Amino acid sequence: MPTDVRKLIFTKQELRLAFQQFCKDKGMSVPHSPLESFQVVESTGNRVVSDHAPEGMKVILHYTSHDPNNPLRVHLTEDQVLEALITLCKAMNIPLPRRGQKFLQKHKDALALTIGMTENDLRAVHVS
Amino acid sequence: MPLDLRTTIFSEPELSSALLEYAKRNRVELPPTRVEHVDLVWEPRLSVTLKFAKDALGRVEELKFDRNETAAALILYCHRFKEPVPHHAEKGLLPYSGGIQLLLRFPWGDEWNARHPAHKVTFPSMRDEQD
Repeated sequence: MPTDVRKLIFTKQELRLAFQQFCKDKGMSVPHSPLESFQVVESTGNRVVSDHAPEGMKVILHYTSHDPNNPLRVHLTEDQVLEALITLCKAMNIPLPRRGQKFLQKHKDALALTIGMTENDLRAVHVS
Repeated sequence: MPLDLRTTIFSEPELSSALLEYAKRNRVELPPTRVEHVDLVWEPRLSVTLKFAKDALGRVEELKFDRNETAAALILYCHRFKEPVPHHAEKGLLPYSGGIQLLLRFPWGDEWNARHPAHKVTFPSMRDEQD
């Protein structure tokens, strides 16, 4: 049985859209100012995650602030980021398997959603 | 649209099995012995040679497959496992340690993906591989 890995690579613009929509859909309390940028970081510290360290990732959204001493930030957990990206795929009519291990990887200055399908996953897809 | 890539990795025994199945399907007469060695050559173009074990007379037979035949064999092999291989996906083959990988790129919606900055990084030779 061959090993199957699927990777969806999102641009920064798509990620920005996904995060903004996620916050809106979830009714999260976010600043009214525009989303200036976002940063992908490890949850254990502020070090930017390496290309091969997908675990414990989170995203910090930076909103425009008039006060440099009071930056406006919103933190998204790895699960929330995953949900945001899956929701974006649904909105774009990109089919994703329900099964399979899904995780995030940093890809250059953006993010990739990786889906690994095992033999059991593939069989289950066709049984269900 | 995000760049959507899929990699399916086949070991050498799986490649061999896929090619034998493809050959049988195309009514190619197969040697009576088992495959002893799979020889992959990537330059200038991919070719795969199945080398069979010696027969009773000490003869060694070989079956050679070009890139398109190899791709077709792998796609058929995926069908056997009910792995979906959409016909509209762009396809390519690349080396993989101990086997071969079948790459698929899904052109969701438009031609945007081909211009995606990550495309050439992730699919370095796919454009050149296209006929």
